[in-house]
Amino acid sequence: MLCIKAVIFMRKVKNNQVMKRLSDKSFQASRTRNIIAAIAIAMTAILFTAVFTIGLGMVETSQRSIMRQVGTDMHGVIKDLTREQYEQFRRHPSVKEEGFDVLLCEEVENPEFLKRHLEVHCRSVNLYKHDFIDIIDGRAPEQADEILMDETSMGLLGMEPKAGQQVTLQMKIHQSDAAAKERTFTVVGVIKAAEGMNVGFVYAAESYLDVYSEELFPSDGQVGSIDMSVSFSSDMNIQENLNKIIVDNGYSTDVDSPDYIDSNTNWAYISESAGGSLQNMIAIGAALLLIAVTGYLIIYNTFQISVIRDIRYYGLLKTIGTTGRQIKRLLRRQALRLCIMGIPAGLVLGYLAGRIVLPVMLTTGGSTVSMDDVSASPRPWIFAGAVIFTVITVLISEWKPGQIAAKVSPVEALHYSEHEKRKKKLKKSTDGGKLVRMAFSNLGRNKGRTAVVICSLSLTVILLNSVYTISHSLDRKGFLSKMILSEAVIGNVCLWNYDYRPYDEKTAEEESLTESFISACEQQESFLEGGRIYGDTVCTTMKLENWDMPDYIEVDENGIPGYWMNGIWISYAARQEDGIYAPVLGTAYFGIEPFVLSKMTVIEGETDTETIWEKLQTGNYLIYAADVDDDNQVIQNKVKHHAGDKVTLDFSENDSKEYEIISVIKRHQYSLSNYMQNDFEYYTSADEFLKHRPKSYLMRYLMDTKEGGEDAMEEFLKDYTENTEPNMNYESRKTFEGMMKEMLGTVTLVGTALAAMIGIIGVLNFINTMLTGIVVRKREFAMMQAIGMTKRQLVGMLMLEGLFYAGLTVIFSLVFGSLFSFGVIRMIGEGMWFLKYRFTILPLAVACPVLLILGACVPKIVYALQKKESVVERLRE
Amino acid sequence: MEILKTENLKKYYGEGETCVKALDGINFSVQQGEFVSIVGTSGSGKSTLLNMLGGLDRPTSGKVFVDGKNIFSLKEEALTIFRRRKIGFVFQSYNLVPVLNVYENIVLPIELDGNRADKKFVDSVIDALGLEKKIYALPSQLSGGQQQRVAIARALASKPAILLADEPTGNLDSVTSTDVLGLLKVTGERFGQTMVMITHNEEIAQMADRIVRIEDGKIMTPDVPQKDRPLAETVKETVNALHKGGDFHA
Repeated sequence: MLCIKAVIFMRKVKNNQVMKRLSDKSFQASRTRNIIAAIAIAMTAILFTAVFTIGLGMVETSQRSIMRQVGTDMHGVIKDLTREQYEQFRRHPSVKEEGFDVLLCEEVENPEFLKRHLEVHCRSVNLYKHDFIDIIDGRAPEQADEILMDETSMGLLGMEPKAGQQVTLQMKIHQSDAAAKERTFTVVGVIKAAEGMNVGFVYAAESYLDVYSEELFPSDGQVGSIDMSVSFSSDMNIQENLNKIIVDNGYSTDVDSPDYIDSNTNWAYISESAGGSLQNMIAIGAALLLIAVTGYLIIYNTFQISVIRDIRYYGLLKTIGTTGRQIKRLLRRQALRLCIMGIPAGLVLGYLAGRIVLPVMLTTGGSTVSMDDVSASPRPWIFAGAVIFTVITVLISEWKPGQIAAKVSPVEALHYSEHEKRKKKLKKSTDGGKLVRMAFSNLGRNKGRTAVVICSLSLTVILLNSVYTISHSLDRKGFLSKMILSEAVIGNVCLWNYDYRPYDEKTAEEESLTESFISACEQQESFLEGGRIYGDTVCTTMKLENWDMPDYIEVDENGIPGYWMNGIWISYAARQEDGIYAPVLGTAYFGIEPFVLSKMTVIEGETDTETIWEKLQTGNYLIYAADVDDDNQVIQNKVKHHAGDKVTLDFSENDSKEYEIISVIKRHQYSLSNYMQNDFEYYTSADEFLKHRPKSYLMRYLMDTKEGGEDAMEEFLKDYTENTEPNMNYESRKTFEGMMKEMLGTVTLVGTALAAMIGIIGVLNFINTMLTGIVVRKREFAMMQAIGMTKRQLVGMLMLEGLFYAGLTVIFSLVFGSLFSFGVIRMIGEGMWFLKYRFTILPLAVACPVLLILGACVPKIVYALQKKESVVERLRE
Repeated sequence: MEILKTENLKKYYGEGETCVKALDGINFSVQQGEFVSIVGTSGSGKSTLLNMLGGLDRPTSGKVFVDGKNIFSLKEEALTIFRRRKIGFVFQSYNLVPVLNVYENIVLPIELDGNRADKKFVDSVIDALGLEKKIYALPSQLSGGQQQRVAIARALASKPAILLADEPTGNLDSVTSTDVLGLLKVTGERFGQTMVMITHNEEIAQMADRIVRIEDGKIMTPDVPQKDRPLAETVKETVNALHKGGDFHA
């Protein structure tokens, strides 16, 4: 009973104060450890923060990019309201911010806007910042005759993008109106053109609505009705909140109800693709793990070393009655104090590093993200995440050393020498007294720690080697020939937006390349030769019965051919509205000029270009393009025709023609086709094509430049597509080379930065280990000096130890770096068509001398920095 | 022949009122082949004296001659080299290098000097100390007594001019102490080794040819050889046994 009371009493002892004092005193006593540990913790925090910044930044950027496509960052929109409904809805208590948008006319009929339409809206000024309306010159409109206009539209009218000019617009208010109304406005503000959209915008002032209210009645089109953009206090359950506004005001969300009001959520907020793909998650998870492991390696090492150094002190604490738990607490307190020192700096630096790296990572690698969208706001999640991960890493690292300190028995502590449990094995040698041998033996004192140091140093070298191998394996020729067949290719912007599908004269006018652009190119000094490709990818078909199907083509239960892709059956036939496949195959029918033919790779049939051209000119022959994989190899079981096959194409109901396949070529999705997957692609001569389709079906133009004229042509194309015909576009070997260089730059930058971080951690670990090696053996060294080891010999031995570390790192890196290179990097290289694996250990060769110098210098410097104590003083300890 | 000599050796720590005179004018000498023990209570200055004799510490004033050479005229590096050639140390806490085996520990000073060990001589020292079966063992595999015997062997192996022993049995139990001391004396005699040993134990001190008493940094007894002092009984037995070639406690 007494005992229990005593125990209870003891548990209540207020020892917090004394523990705190003890902990703080021990903390102050280990300055070197504190510096190393704080740097290590800061480093870990930097890496964690950077990864979180990049990860969340990617999500945010992707969201911004979608919002830009959608045109707003408001949460949702309620559509087609009357003015009364709008006034009623905007007062709903859940609405945090709202604004309206009204379309003011059905069409602007100025001839300049025939190809690139101009929309005239009236929008609440407060929505400008949400809807990416950036006024680059001037101000927002106030009077009814003041407007904002985008710079491209102004360019089309032949105006400079400057505020203060007058424009006259032919506005056809309603579709049913007989004639357009001519109105003159002052452009008081110039806005940026909406990116990726072939439409111009004009925004009028709110007072316009009052002046012209009588003409803005909802009729057959959109004109006059109000769309209300809404944001709520949270972006959760947006659709439900929208529905609530509608229902609360007495309307319905049921499509069939007469009171139906349409609304929808901004899909930037619902999209699953917002950076949260599995691949990204895995990449970020792997990065977090790597950081945790490197951080652990050094923080653990630092604490373990300090505990072993102070083991007598802990023994003493035990002797005078400190419990194991208290000792653990004492260490944890010190660890947390180091966190307070290291983490804040790490958060700031990590966030900055993340912000620097993010745009580089996003804008390269073929990503289409616009620079304006790249953003990484300092969200609390980034810092909370980084702090939590860092603290967890520190606590895990500190746990085992704490265990050692807590478990030490007071008696043993006095004799504690940090030996691994030695196997009772004799050391059969007689020349261990040689400095070299002695130095080598010393590495074996704590094999675990030696391994940690060598691993963390090797990790850097292997990482560098991998980065270098990848950037060196980039297959420049393969990459370029895959992306482009001639020096440059020109076409309509639609082609690059996967929008080239003309089906009549009008659509062809809008979507195809202009002859004016071609002749402008041909007039260039640097122009050598070129050729047109006409294309119809919509209207030309082939009846299934007319296809002499090879027997390896698979068919479904109805006999309709197709193929399996990732477990999904894809039919070659066209699907009809009732969901049944019609026995009709969609084809892509192209007409080419001789230059284009010269760029093709024939794999079957007639190979002589001249003969092929002669035959094509007869109008009775076609070239068939066979599908290729990423490595530009023909996919054999998807070859649908062989040379000599007969093909009957249907151009319209009463226009069909039978052709013979003269040759089979390799399909080139980028330079010869319309960037899309066409299952049946045929090429004939331009003349034959034009017998069936009009001249306006001009898809693209391939051209080569004279030797050395590449830069001049590039400059011309860039200027022309920006200023003269902005709806035209081009790509060239130059642009792809630039892309490739940027991609390389990113890989190198990110890899090197990571390697540098891990490298610093590795070197810190090494310094730490050397330092401890010297401090722990202080007395042993004194004894050796007493029996006649000179200081020079001692330093020499330490340098040899350092060199052994370096040497072992080199060997380890060489072996594992090569294995890693041959295994993993080669596999990655094979998985990516633009890489051609090339083995290299050049970075290793460069790292070698650096490591050796480091290995020799670190011990020397660390020894020199030690407190000077005489042999006698050290012997006495 | 005088192998070791001090001249008015002084070592003061601190200054003014807090000045501690660890050694205050020591004059004494040791003859070739002599076994001298220095006794004194703790704080008497005996350890300081031994450190001075071995060149581990520098005096405030005075000189130490070893083999006729004033050792403090040497620079640090040269003094270390002189030390490994002329002086053998045996410490209270054996101080063996843990990663080297017995043989490697013994020949360490010779190898540090860049010389090859005189294997025949080293073997005879190892034999004399009964370590021939343990030469490949690591220090951690040995008992305290065995470790101290290795330390003695290490001190003897380089054929030093003087062997300095600082409380060589301080960490050993009494039976082992007697064994180790007996061995020290017998091997010393066999190899004609000059030895200076410090101890606070009268009984152990009596094994020496001569006893020098030191107190408050000064020598108390007249510096006279006391060859005929009776040995402590137990030590005497061991020594006799050794002389007869008999075995000793392990």
